[in-house]
Amino acid sequence: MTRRGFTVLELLAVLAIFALLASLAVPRVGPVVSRAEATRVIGDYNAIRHAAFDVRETTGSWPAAAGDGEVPPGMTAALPTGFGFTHGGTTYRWRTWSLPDGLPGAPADTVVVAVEVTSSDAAMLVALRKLYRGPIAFGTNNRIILVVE
Amino acid sequence: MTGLPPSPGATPPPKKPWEFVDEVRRDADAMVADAARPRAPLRTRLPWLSLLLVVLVVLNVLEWRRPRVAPQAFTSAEEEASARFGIYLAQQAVIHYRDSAGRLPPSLAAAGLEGGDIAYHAADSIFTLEARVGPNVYAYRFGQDLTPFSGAYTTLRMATQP
Repeated sequence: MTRRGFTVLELLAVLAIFALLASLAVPRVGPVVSRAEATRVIGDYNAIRHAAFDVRETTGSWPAAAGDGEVPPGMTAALPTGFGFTHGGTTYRWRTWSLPDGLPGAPADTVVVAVEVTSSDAAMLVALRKLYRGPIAFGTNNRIILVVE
Repeated sequence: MTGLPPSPGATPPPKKPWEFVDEVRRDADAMVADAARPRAPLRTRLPWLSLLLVVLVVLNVLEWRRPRVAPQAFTSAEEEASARFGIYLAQQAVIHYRDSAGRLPPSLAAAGLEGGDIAYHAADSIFTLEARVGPNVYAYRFGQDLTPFSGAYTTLRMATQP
């Protein structure tokens, strides 16, 4: 009687081929997910930016600075319904700086306003920086400050 | 029936049911014959299989152990510029507070900068600001030239809008 089927070695070879293919494919999926997440964050940044401009137009001044994940006072009404400053693993923070000396090439007594984005997803922050089209972005590798104006 | 050959492109006449059965039987016979064909004995295949397996295992180990470079949102030069610009913003916040309150703020939080990475020390009318990026420390002492700190803005602007 002949016994047909696969030997253990053949099965192991097939498993090894699958493992190799998986190790090549998995790292290519991550950046796609991060880019999608960064696109969502840019959408949130634009929502915050528009809300801040609305507040400034209505009240004559920028919304006051707020803590991590806190909606700045006075901005809630200008934001889309249910908009939060924490989204999954990403936290937003509204920041303002008064600069008595201004910035290089800008007049004195300038106010700089920005959205600080904190996330542990380094790949998402890299993608976010590439998508951002504002004046300047600065920060560290787990926290990016996107200047609004 | 005219006896003429079917014109090209014309639909062939439908098969009879027994023709289908014959076709299926022929296919089944061919599959059985193929399965019955003797394979190379394991003794012949073993060296090649072993070699293939070793090669695949080595490739897997190399691929899984390949160092992955963590993505960095900022280069080290941009991180330095960020730290310097952060010090400039903090310095301006302190000056703004001093101009309105008439004294230095007790902390950066009092000057409206909570939760930053900048260390602030004030004594009398002198204050210092320190930012740490990895092993590097960037410091500003009140009265020092601010250009390296405010100038970081230009570096960051060029990096953001190349």
